[in-house]
Amino acid sequence: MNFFKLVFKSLMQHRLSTVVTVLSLSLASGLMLTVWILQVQSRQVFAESNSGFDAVLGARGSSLQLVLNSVFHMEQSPGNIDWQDYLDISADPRIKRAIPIAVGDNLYGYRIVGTTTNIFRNAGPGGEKGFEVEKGRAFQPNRREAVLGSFVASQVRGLGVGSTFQPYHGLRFDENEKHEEQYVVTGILKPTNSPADRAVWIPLEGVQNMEGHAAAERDRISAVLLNLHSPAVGQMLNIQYNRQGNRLTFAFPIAAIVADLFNKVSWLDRLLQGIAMLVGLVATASVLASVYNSMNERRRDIAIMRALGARKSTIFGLILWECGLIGLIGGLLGFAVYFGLMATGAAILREKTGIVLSLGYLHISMFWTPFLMTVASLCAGLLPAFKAYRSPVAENLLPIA
Amino acid sequence: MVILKVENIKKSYRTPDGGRQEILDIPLLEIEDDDHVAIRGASGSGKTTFLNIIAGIVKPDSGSVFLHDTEVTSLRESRRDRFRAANIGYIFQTFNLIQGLTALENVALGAWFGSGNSVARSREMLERVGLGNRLHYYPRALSVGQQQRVAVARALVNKPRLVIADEPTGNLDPDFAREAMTLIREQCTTEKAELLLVSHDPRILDQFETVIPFESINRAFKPSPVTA
Repeated sequence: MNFFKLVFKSLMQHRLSTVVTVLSLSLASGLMLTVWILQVQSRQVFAESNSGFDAVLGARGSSLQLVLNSVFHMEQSPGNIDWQDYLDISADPRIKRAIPIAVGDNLYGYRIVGTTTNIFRNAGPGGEKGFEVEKGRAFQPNRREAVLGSFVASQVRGLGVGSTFQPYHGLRFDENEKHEEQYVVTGILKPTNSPADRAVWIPLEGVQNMEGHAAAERDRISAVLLNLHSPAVGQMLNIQYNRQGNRLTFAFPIAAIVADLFNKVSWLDRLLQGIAMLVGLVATASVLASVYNSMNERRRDIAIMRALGARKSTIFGLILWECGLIGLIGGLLGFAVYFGLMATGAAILREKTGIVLSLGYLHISMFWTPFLMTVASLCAGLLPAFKAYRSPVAENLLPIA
Repeated sequence: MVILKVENIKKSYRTPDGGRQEILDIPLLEIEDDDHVAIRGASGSGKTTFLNIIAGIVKPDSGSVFLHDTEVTSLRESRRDRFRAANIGYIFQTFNLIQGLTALENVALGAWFGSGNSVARSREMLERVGLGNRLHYYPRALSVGQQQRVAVARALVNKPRLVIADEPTGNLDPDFAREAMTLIREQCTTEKAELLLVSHDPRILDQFETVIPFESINRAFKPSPVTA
């Protein structure tokens, strides 16, 4: 017999309340971990997910909307710009790579992006950052060919290299809005873990000339994705387009603009954190209630141990360790809850944005959450431990009538 | 040689009406080495409180208890606990086994509080009381007689100087009671422990050479009025 065996035996003797308490703590711990890590990691991954571009040039309006539309393939386009604007900026020697894009159609909800072949790896200047075609080949300009993002290829059943599809008009899927044109899939991109994975890439002319699109917009594009020779160029173009000009928006740097989005919804983060903390508090209170309530049925065992020579401090420590162990096990089992919730959250985020969150992401909260649960449970155990400490021996040893 | 000396012990309890009722007033009791002593007393006469004071579980209002050279009543509570674990074995009427522990663990628990962790000694004690094949049984799976044997093994596992038994056969039928009493006395003799037993059962008391009527040592004892 030793102290820890006694703690373990006592937990096993009250296994139902132990299991329920451990489960509630693990749920709380898992929820706290998920809220913190999802928030931190998604902020970080979104800020880093620029699909390989430094800046975006688009119609006058919100930089955030421009970035969300052209880089993350979300939101409506803030408007179109002239082809000449693309020609002007692509001719600027400070620009390393300029890629025009046009949007307006979808395939089962996945955005169809019209662009040039420069977007692919080693195709044109700055092409080393381009998307790599893993299967098949890139589309050819002026042909009804398409390259699928890896996520689209994995999600749309029956769609692979050589298969055909008809785009749907608009950015939201409506089966009544099917275009007449038929496209052949010529390639599938290597996964980038970025929003590019959930887009369908076709020649720019394809979107511009798609049946049903406004004729007046045929020489216009949605935005230009840019790589700059240096960050200083970004500052200069920022002044040139955003302060001195009034027709176009130059969104730079992309990470800062995305961070601004997260700052705008930081109240939601705080709300979720508050809820998680509250759940943690309730779970800790359940340790107190569970162990405190069990004191009545344990007073005889405690009295027996005291009669056998156990010191008050031993009994106090025994109860405290039980609570601490419940907290530690709950905190560690919280990782199972965390991985479950995180896997679900990551799948939803990938489905909605193409952003891939890592389940192996390490964060300091992974260390202090189990620690916090253990310490909180220890604190919750103080009251029942004190009750056990004060428990009278002689009265509790009397034969039960 | 006197191994247990009780001197001027007084103990009273608060009554529901706010007064105090004295239940123990024992001027002197001495128990010699190699003695097995029985105390005879009626229910409610304060025998259990008396045993609890000797064991250091309850502190008297005044007076002293000496076990060998140690004045138990003058020790701080934590030292009393340690002293009790190492020197006194206690057998209760209801055995008081911990239901969540096996027979072996119940005995080992007593050993752990007293002499340290000695599973081998606990096993040996259980084998000696005839429960070598029931080591891993929980109390609920043991008969009443077997539970009593576990309690005896637990009381003696630390080689105590004194074994206190409070109505140890009160829950057993007469045949088992006699057998259990024989076992307790045998084991105390083997372990060279003195035995102080309280009982009101004449069949048990008959087995002892020394029987002390509790009312003869307790001046606070007042017989209940006989009702017609």
